[in-house]
Amino acid sequence: MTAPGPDREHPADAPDVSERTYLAWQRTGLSFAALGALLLHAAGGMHHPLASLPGIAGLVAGGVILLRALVRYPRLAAAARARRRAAPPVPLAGVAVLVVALGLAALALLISVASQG
Amino acid sequence: MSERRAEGRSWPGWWRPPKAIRSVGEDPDYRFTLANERTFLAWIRTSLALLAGGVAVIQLVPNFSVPAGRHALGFTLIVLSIVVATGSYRHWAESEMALRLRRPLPPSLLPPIIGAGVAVVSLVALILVAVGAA
Repeated sequence: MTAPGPDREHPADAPDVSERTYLAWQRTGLSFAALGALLLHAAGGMHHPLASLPGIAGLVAGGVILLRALVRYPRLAAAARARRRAAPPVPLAGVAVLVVALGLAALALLISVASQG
Repeated sequence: MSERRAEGRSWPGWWRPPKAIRSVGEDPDYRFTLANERTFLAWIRTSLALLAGGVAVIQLVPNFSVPAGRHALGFTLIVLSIVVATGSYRHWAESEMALRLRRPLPPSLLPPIIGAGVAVVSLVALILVAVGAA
């Protein structure tokens, strides 16, 4: 499969593409929030002040992603309508780093809970 | 790696921050950029689901008859989620560079990794449940 060239533009599906991307970000934000709630539940029995941090980070990340998607959607739709070549950028590396950090924090949290019990 | 050094890069392409990746080549059709972004997000959600599954197995599932079986399953799922999150960014970056340079899209290692990982975890879970029921 070869990467598509810049001469292929079909703006008829532009709103659809923006909407699908917006919905994908929404689902991602909700997933972060759900994981945050689960991590808060997991930290429930611990008295360490940092135990709730991963859960709170997940919930805050979910909220920020949902809000950012909401703010970005009109700009994305406008860029698509104007047939602008570049889509508004987003910090994707930050999202991946956050998931890795939450994974490591969850490991630390669960090991602490297991060693307590 | 020698080819990359010849191009003047000291790091693999995917290690670059998104801003540096966006400075390579020329902007592709935005629909392909957004499709690549959605694929990245789908992998991130998969990673989050694995992470949530790992936490849930350890916190919510009753003990298996085999000691530490629950923890082994949960920790494996969490490690798999970290691998998927890292791989998702790598694949996004490699695909974005290919789109910008109008090169063939690179293959992804993520489907076989997650396929094998989930199959192994499911098989171990099945064995643990069967041993407990026997």
